[in-house]
Amino acid sequence: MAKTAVKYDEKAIQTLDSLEHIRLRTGMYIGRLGDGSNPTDGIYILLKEIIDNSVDEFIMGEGKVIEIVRKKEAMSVRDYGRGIPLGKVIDCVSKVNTGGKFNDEVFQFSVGLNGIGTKAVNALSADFEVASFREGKFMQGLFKAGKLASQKEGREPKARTGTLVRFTPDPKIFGSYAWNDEFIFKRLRYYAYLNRGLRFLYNGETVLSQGGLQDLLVEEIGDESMHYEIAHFKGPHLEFAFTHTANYGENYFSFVNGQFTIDGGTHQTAFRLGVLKAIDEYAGINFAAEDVREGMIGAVAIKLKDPVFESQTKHKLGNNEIRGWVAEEVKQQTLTWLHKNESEAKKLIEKIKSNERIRKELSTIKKQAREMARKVEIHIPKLTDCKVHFGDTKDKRREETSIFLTEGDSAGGPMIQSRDVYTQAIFSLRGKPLNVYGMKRDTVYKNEELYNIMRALGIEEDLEGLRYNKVIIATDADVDGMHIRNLLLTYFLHYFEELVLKGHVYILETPLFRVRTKSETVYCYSEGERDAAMKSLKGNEVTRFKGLGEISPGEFKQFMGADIRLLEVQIQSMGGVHKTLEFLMGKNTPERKKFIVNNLVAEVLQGA
Amino acid sequence: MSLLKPLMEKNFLEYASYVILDRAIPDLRDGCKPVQRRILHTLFEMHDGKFHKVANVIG
Repeated sequence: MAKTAVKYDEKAIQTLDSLEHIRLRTGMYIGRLGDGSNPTDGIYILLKEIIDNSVDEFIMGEGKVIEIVRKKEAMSVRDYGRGIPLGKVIDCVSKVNTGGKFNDEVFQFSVGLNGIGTKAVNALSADFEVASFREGKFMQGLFKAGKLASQKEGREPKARTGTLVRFTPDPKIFGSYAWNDEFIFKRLRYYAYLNRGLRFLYNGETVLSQGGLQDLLVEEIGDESMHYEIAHFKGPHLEFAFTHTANYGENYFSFVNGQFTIDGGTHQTAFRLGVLKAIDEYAGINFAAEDVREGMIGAVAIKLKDPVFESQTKHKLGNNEIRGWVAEEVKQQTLTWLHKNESEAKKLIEKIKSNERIRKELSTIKKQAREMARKVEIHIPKLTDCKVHFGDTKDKRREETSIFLTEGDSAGGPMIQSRDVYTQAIFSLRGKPLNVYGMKRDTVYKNEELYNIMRALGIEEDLEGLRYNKVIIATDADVDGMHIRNLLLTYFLHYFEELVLKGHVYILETPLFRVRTKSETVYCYSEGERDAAMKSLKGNEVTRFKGLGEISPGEFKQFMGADIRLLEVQIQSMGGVHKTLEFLMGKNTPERKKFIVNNLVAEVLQGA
Repeated sequence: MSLLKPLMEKNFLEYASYVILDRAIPDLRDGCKPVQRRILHTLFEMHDGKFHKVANVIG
């Protein structure tokens, strides 16, 4: 073995300076890096750490306004809280495990607790400035890549007491990145819901909430589909709100000390239990939990002195001792609300009863459909299956498994010939699928095509049974193809939301044109590319592919194989999805007509 | 990677615009939809006094 032995002795053991450690092992402190195109990317975590501190000041009763200004990459956050004690300003942002949040007197219920946040931001910024103003005096420190560059103190009689932090995330760590204002606004809105009366100014625009969690629910669902007025309660340590919508499944937003716990945890479980108990007690009936919760959307926020999270990223709360009192208080307050609002309570009970009815109806229909299905169990018509499936946990190629939903047999034909039989399945649609928006679940069982798609994917019960990692919509690149894409997306979003949320749905891009000479062939995905190719190739011949059926099996191989082009369908916020679907596929004909007419002209000009 | 809202809006607009402009609405001048006009034109081209099968007209 020709291997130089690396000596492993005392010299190999390093102790890093703490800020250096942050730069080297960034993921441990702020999770993923990313380039700013995803709301959980590192740069937003940096901003959050800084805003958290300002919000903590507000929670302690100081500083009702927080100003945030972005100039290109540089972010500055100015609050009017108590300001960091001047003598410790530099330590507070550069020495790990320094902070005022380890005891309970100065800060209660704060998000920050480990004494890491600001230091991490400092270490990961190309430029970092901190300034604290207290009664006319100030202390300022400038850092570069976590190293102190200069510091200054003096008098500034006019400045209001508070803290200013300005930072530019270091391109050496984050690569090229860009802030997305939408993500920032969304985050600020969450802060606002949780801290009623706290006003954010982001580049001059105000974000403020008076209704708290109620506003959050209204924003998430868009007020149309609510079954009754939102139930809302706010106490010193607990705030919650809930209502029922016409959607499937349940949806919760939970917070601890202002931290959004995406994966829920003990407080969320307790909240769900409390609501269920209260409703059962009020109605005097023991409803099935799934009937009470079907269509429910709720939000709960609690304040806790010593929150314990199950992970470093604080996505799931683990405090067991809170279960009892949260459930009890939610129950009591929900009961009070139900008794106070008789008419709303009546609507709520009605909704639950209708859930129960639908569930029972559905189970009989399901039974019938299954019996029917048993006869065709061996093969689903229109599906040309592949050999490996996503559920084969032992198979190395399970990640590659995909199903192509194509438009008609003419397109399916060449694809079947040129596919990889191990990982690529083909499903040929027959014409346009049904627009299912606003329809009940039993539609899936009544419509043969939709039922077959569901069975082919294996997602009847839940996502566990998914048979392909990628669900690829492969329609022609013409206007009817676009329409089919929308219809299919509506179908998935309406009944199998999770499939899209988890990023399983893709759209296949196929070339629009082929430009070729005797020696060379170029495939073009847009008119721009075509024009470029026509210029560079002399004596060319241009073909336009009007449908996938026109691409020959030999040629198709590359578009499904090595050179495949897939667009992943991504979702920004669930509330937005329902609004979009309602608008484009729902029953609001007049507004949609207006939308089409208003945008039609631009389309014509483009085409001309 | 592609966000749902712009994607669906674009798909929808292109389809809707096409249907309105090039498929569903008869022209004021001759009262024909584009498909109908195409068939009439083909019939005119093919007409030579003999019988033709409908399938040939469309294809």
